[in-house]
Amino acid sequence: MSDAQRHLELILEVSSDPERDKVMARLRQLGFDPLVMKVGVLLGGDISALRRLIPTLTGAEIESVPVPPDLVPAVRSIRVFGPRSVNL
Amino acid sequence: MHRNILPTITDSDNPVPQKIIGYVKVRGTQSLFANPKKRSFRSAKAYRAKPKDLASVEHDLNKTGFTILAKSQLGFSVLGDARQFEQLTGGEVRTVEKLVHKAGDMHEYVTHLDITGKNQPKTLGVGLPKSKSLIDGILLEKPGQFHSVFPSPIPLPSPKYHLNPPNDLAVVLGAVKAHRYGIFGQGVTIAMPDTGWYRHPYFTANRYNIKRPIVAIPGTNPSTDPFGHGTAQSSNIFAVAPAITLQPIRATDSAGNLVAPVAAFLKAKALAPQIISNSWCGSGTDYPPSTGPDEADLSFAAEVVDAIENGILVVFAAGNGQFAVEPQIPGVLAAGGVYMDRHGIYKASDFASGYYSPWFGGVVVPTVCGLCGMQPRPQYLMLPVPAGSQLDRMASNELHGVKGDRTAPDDGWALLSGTSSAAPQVAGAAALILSAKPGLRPGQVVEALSRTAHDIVHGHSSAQFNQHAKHGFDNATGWGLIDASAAVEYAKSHF
Repeated sequence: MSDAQRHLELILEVSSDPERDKVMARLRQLGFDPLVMKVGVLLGGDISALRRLIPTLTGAEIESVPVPPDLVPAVRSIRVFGPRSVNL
Repeated sequence: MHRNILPTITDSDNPVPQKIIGYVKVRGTQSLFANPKKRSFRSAKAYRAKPKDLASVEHDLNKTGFTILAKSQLGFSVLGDARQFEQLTGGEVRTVEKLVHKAGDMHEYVTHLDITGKNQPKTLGVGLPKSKSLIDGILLEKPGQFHSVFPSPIPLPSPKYHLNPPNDLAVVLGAVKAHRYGIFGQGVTIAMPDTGWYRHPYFTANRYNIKRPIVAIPGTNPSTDPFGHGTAQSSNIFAVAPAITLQPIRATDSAGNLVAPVAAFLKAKALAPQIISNSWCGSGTDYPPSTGPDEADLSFAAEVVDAIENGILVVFAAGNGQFAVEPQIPGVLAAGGVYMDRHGIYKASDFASGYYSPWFGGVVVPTVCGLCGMQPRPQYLMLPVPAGSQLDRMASNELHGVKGDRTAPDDGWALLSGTSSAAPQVAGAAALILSAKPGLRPGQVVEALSRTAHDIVHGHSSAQFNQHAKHGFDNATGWGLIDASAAVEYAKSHF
């Protein structure tokens, strides 16, 4: 599997509930299937798809991703949910 | 022997294929489908259709979008989608699993298509037109697809000391007495975000209730589990609570990598089950950590706390030596590991995590324990896995000089047993409590399991933490090994 096909989970912290609705609508327009979280929005997808929203995404980001200008100020931060594993 | 305990037809999780090949029989002077006793095969003459009837049916099939693959004097081989066959019959096209006899005297479940509905015959794969017409009947192609190796529905033997589900686990975890009183977990739904779920014949033979798996990543197959972990660990739940309803949620990509656990947890939460059982966590942080949990961890923690406050009991595996945020989240029932040797002596598993949380004051991981293997290789429970899956192969291989489980890499059974097994066992015990006392709050269920657990006084947790078991509550095993029936009794008498 190439790096571009690797699936990532990003947590978008939003500034308010109305802003979250706008962010959700924007993400759906881009073909994503976002989920509502207490702090904002969960966005999942492979890296090549996520670049539709965040063109600078490399996949090497460990903790956070710069917020694209068109999502400011609705989105305060974008955090990368780190790798998880099963407890065999 | 297996055939006697397995139903011939059972539910299928496989989707209906996008394209279906079928056969449309055009009526002759005699029907193939009506009056079975009058059928004769000395000659096909009575079954041949009139040329004008064939032409009329061909016209209608083309008009409704079928592709004619071949034709004869009796009918047509056609290609269409489920909707087209449903329009033709007025029934519903669905998948079922049928136990078939294969070469080598083996039996396998193989996915078949059927047309069901009012006025449709009971014969598998046979349909009748929805209204009187020149069509005598419709047949759906019998499968040459979805075949898989048939794993035994009974745990396979291994010379390694181990326990078998369901009975060994039910006995050691104290569930048998509750079962005798008719408490099996009925009425309780447990959602399980994991690597996927495969309908292994073990589950079918035991008549367990499993909802069609759902997926966190659109496009992944809900009926497969390439890694095998979710399939294996779900059997631990049923060993303790055989009448629960399981909702598997696949959190892996097509290769079986666990890449969407948050989405899977959120989907589980949205279903509002009584319990969410999680046999996964993060890793990579040494103990004691130099920093606090990051914002992503805290965002997830908020979701978990919200689930608990909404009445969902959330169980997480304590970890196999890892230090991770999930089992530390306040209110989570963290499942650690206890090992029972062949002489019936209990001790803390040196494979399981056990520590005082430096992140959340007053939290100790684990809360209570299920059964877990020991270092250097915790192969302790014989669990069902998809035949030839990654776990099936890994378990059979030698690792760090320790032999594998002495079963084949493609036989559908594997010896496994980290805290991944302990978590669903504890979830099963919690289900018995909620079945006996519906409506209890998560904290009450945790209290019942904690106050009745067997105190463990020997052994220590994994080397990174090296916490020793001792009389009373300790940082290696928490309150100790669960006693499911005692916990049910506690709940009934205290709440």
